[in-house]
Amino acid sequence: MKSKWLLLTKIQLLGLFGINKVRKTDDPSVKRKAAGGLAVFALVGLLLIFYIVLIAVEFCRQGIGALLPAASIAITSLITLLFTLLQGCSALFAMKDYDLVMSLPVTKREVLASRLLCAYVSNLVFAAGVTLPCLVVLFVFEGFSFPVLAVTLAGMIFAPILPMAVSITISALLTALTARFKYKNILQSVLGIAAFVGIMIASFSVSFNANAEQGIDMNAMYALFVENIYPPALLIQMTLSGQVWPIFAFIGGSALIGAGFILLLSVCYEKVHDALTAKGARSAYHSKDVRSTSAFSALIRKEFARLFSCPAYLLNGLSGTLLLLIAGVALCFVDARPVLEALPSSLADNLVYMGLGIALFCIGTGCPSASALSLESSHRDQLFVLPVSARLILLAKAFPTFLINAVAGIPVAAVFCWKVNAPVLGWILLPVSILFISSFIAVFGIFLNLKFPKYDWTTETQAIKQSIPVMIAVFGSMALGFAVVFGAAYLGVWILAAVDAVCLALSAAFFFYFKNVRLYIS
Amino acid sequence: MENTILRIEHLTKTYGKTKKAVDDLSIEVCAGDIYGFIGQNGAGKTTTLRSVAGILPFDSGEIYIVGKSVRDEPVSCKAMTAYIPDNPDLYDYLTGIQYLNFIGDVFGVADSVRRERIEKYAQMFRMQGDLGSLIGAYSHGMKQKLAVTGALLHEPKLMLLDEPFVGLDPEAAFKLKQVFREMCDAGSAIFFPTHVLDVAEKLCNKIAIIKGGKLIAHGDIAAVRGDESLENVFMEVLENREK
Repeated sequence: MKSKWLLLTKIQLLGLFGINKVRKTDDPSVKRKAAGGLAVFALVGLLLIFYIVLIAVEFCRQGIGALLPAASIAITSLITLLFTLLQGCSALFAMKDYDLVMSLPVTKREVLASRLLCAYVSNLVFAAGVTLPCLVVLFVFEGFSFPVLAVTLAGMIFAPILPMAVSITISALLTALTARFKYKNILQSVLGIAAFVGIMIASFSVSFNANAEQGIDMNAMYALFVENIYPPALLIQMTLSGQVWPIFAFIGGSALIGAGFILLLSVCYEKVHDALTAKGARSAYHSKDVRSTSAFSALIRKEFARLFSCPAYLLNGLSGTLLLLIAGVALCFVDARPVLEALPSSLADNLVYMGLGIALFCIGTGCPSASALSLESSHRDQLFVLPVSARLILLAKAFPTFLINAVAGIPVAAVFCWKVNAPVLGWILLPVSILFISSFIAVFGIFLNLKFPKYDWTTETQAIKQSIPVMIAVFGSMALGFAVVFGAAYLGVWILAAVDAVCLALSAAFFFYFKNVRLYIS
Repeated sequence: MENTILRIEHLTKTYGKTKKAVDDLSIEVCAGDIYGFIGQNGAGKTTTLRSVAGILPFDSGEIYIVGKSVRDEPVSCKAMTAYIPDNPDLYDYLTGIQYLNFIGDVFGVADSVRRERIEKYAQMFRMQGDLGSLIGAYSHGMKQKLAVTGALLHEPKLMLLDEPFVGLDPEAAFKLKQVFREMCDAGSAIFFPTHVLDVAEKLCNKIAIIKGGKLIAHGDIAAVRGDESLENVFMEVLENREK
């Protein structure tokens, strides 16, 4: 007989990747969409591997390839930490199937172990996507080594446990602290954002220090991630330098932390779940609460209420915007003149236009519209029966994404222009371009969600982070961002004009496309 | 016909490649009708209801609401309709009053009218003290009452209700029946699938019995029932059909 926690894990994984749906359906459109989704995942994976290989090759060229295993494990651990923090407690708690699962003859530890394992599998896939290409590059440059392979694989397998435990503990503590407040969702979101911003600011400050002292090189990157942000990865490096005990310390420490974490959480699992799902007490309404507005405005308000109702949604949705804002604030305190003077004049002139690529990279990282429709889930019949056009519903869903990014992006664009001594044309074009890309990303996100909706989630995180439209929006924007940075370096203002024209044309195309859309529950 | 509120013509809906959920179904619901739609589990009742509500595409046939095609003019049809699913899974993150405001805004119900109707139905269903709370804190019955209040806010011409009395306390169910009768007297119509034959027998003036997606009996309840109870008729009709 299989272990119960394995059975629970299997059921969750079947739902997570939609494998069962594809296996059991006789609807060709479901299979087509699954094939499309698989292609997207493959593309995203290839893109990620491409960038990882570029960085790894640079490590090897600078003669520090031996640092790659520790650096890759530190980077994946940091990203696991941030991503799990962005999920909030939804990785383990407040799932839709809580009542069903808890009514089964299984222990809380088994439930927790299965949920943790599901979250772990996602993080392990990402860790493998970063670490294995680094290993291949290292072996190509410096020859195969079995000890390096064994140590790195062992490190990779155990690496996600510690950051996951830390992030979920922070989220659970935030939940416990805010459980009794009326607006606990907003408070949790604010505290979550504060934790996210804290980690990002720490990274930025270390990054700037590293740059100032050591120049922009791979040693600095290694120092940043391994020595300053994620010291446990040093144990991998120590093992690869000849000591044996550090790898056992890393594996043993991770396993102990994982087991201890499950034991500890199993004590307070139900309490945390209750705190997360408990709603406010009875309260009456006041007649002033009854006031009318337009249908579009009502739909937009509902979208904002949804955004603020779920800390994980808000944190993920705002992550890119926050990144942009942090970069903008950090820029205010940086003296850009040495950088401008050090750059060739052609590149310095084009720097302002390269800023659009950075903005695109950040704005796309958080794209709430890419999951706005999926989050309707079983509520969608209420929305689809409303006497408004599908276009109005879709545009209302795209609007928060547009507004948040435009409002945050324009001041940051102004700071960027100020810092790089932008010409008048730059001052005009960069904010306008921010408006255009914000508009495009918002409608593109909802278009993707329309094509690949994920209504059958058991936890909101599956729609917010792990769904196809979000993957395409996030990684597509990253790729486009890089492309615009490189393009602007050579083509300057023309790349802005091209991006603006494309964004405008595509936004208009989506606007007209939405006119003929019909929203159905299946 | 002038007073026809809902006309379903040869409706057919297939799931997957072969499973016919509704097969060549035709029904007419007139102003003043409380039309019960009866059938076993999986007979095609909810599929029909969802198709009429405009949230499920169908393969062939036509559905008209006050002469307008659901397929061609979905927004106009929805503006005249109120739909309450069997398990109203309302937005947990809104308060009751926010939800009603949202529905009022989307259906374009004026402020003063909205205030008056919210007051009326909140009092009727004894939920004034709860409308400021999050819907997530409501019981199933409370959600049902809120959904009904939302549905009545714009005085629809056609109400589509899937098992509307499930979860309601006896007082609320009684008052809801009164509201239905008042609405029908004012020229609206109600179309609702149900398993509860007792409710259908007491409330409806017309019924339709559906089995395996096919309509097997329909018309005035007195004509369909004759001298027997609806339960007996239902069982007989099903058994005869099976033979």
